[in-house]
Amino acid sequence: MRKSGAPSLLISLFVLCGVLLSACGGSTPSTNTNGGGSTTAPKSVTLVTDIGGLNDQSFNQSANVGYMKAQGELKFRRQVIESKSQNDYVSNLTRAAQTSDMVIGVGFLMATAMDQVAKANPTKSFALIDSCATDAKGNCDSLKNVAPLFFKEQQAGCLAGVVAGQMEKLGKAKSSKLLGNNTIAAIGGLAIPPVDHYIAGYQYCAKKVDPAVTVKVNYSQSFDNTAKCQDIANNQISTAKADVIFQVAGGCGVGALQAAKAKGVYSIGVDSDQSHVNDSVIASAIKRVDQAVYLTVKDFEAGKFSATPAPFDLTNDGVGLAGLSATVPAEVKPVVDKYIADIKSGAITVPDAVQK
Amino acid sequence: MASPTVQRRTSAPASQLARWMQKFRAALGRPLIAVLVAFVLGGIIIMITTPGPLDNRFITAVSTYYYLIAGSFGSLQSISYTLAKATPLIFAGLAVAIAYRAGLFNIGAAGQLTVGSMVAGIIGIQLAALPGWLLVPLMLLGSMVAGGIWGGIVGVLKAWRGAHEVVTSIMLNWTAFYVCAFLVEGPFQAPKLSQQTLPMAPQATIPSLAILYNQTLGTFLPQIPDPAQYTVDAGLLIAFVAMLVYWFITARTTFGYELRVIGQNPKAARYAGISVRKNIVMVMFMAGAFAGLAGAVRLMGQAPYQLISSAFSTDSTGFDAIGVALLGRTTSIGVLLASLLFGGLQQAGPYLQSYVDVPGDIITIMQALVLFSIAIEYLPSLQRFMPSFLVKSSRPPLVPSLITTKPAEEKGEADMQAVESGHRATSDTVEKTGLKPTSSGQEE
Repeated sequence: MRKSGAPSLLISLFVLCGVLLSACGGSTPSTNTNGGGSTTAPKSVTLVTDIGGLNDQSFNQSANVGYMKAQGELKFRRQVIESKSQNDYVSNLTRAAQTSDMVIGVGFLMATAMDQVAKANPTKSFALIDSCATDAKGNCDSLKNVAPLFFKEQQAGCLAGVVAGQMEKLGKAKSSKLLGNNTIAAIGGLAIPPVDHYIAGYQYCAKKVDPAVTVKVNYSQSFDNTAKCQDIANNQISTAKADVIFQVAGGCGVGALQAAKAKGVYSIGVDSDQSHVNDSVIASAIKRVDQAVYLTVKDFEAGKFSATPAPFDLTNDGVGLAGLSATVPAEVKPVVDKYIADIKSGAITVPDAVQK
Repeated sequence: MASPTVQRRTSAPASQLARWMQKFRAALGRPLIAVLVAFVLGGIIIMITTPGPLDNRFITAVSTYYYLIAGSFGSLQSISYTLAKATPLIFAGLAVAIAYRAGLFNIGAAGQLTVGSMVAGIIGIQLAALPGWLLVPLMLLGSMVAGGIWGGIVGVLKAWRGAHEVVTSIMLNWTAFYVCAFLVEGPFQAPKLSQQTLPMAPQATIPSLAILYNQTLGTFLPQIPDPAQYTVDAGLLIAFVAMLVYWFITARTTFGYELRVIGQNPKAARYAGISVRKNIVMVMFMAGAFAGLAGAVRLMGQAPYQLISSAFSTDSTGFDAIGVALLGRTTSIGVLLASLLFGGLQQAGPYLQSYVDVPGDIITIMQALVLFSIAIEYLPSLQRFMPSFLVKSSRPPLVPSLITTKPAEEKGEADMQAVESGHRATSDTVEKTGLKPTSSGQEE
């Protein structure tokens, strides 16, 4: 077998090429790849997702929803590239930058890759969700063509805190599943800025509504291990008698929601409306990645690209509270609305650092 | 001892062309059929999953393949991307292949690769002050040793405890993923970033092939314009060296010969005086070293030159390598070709998503179909169902072996002889001992 290597391999190579070429021979590609050149055509925008795929029930999906909304309105060519591995970020971003005018990257893990690609393609515009472009020293690189899309998660966290605090204040008479120890809890994935913003807001506003409440905060050190968050939540419920669990740990946190259901207490979801997980979820603190993507693309098409966009918050629907369940006492809603108005008007400034 | 009762067939075909054809079929028939079948099935899957009337679906499937080739080998830049993707696959493919030669199924390439890249990263971060000519070889060497030790553990467990290498290497994969993720998120975390280290210093990286060319040969030969767009790095040259080393080890050394013997029959190997234990540990160490190099070259050769904790377990290189090794029939050239195929498929993924509206997952499906087709072995089963006058001499054995040193028919003949002499032996004993013929005797 080995002796015959060269000739047979040569033949095989030819055959392989032949097979492949005959497969595509005479084909007329169905999609239309032109579109550049004419001045009236909208500028093209490419979305590069993180790993996990477009239907990840999380940021990728949300970003795609915003992207599709903008695409439907502005009629540019749809181009979405799903990253299969973190090693593909640079090649995917490069490919996107070469074929379109703006590239939107989903996820803070792309920070350094984005920096390198944006520097190599200075004429193209970039936007990055949840992070700034990061240089080799780990510092934010203020490039003129990269827009970091930040959120004021603390405002969404605050509204979740208001719900939890108000329920504790109303007590067992209004919400039968409370354990009566006046304690609520939060589970964070890792102590990274977006997570801490949520928890800080939750802590601050729960205490503002009900100064007597205790807020227990734990970190699971994971965003995907469901069992870990389930353990932590069980522990918070059994030993600390916490009865509202706010999860800020992505896929891991789903375990916390399940634990709350199993133990018969309340829970609050994060990032998107998680009321579909089970009926223990009374509300979700949401981060509207779709809104951020939509607004950014719209601004870009209107020629208003800014490398330092304002963080997305309650005033532009960038964050919010969703899926307030019917099990929440009617007295809670007006308080939430008051806080929304106060935050929008600037009467309340929510801090973004967790109190230890 | 026993003269063959079966008539010896002349196995040499008459003409040179026919011999070439036979060798070609023996070496590449199965992989080619596997790829072909996978592509046809892939086309059917695309046609099923895309919307629209039937002819539209057909056009989508055809244009998918058009863009698959355009995206992987269509332009110089695409080729450079494909080569960049193929480079770690070559190393990892060799890691699986060399273990397979000894009959060991090295599922652990992913873990060995992870450990290798981690150690290279640690050396690169800690000793960043060293000059490049010292640092780069040190990182490569470190990754080889670390990967080798990781693979060696599997070998030791197999040799002395009899623990199955599939089980231990899978377990060590996860150990490696989590330990390295801990290291990245703990001591080596970049100050202001989460789940990632800082990028390697420029002198700790392998230069891109185009830039290297411009700086060396390009000084008196024509320069490559705009070299930054060709991402393939000089790691490809190291991969070629590794392929050469692999070929030399397996084909030209006693060690390689012993590996083959162990792979085909460990008991016979032991009987022949080959130290099976030593060789198993050695081969797993080498496999680990190849895989470790894959990790190091990937880290040092390609942007963003940093370690990301969640990338360890999601990076599929270590597992794709199994397909590469099997498709390449554990030969150097085969591994290269299979790496190019897999690298090309992966490279074309984003391209497909941009130009044809098919999901990127279709690439993963195609890879899986290739693997599936190799495992199924269509060709031998087809041949077996063919009428006998069509196949004539080359009826394949029922249990196909990947590493055949002899043509199939000779082997079959040898088996026949063995069976024949076995029968004689039994009947001899029967006669000698004067016992009544047993069931085996009745067959005579």
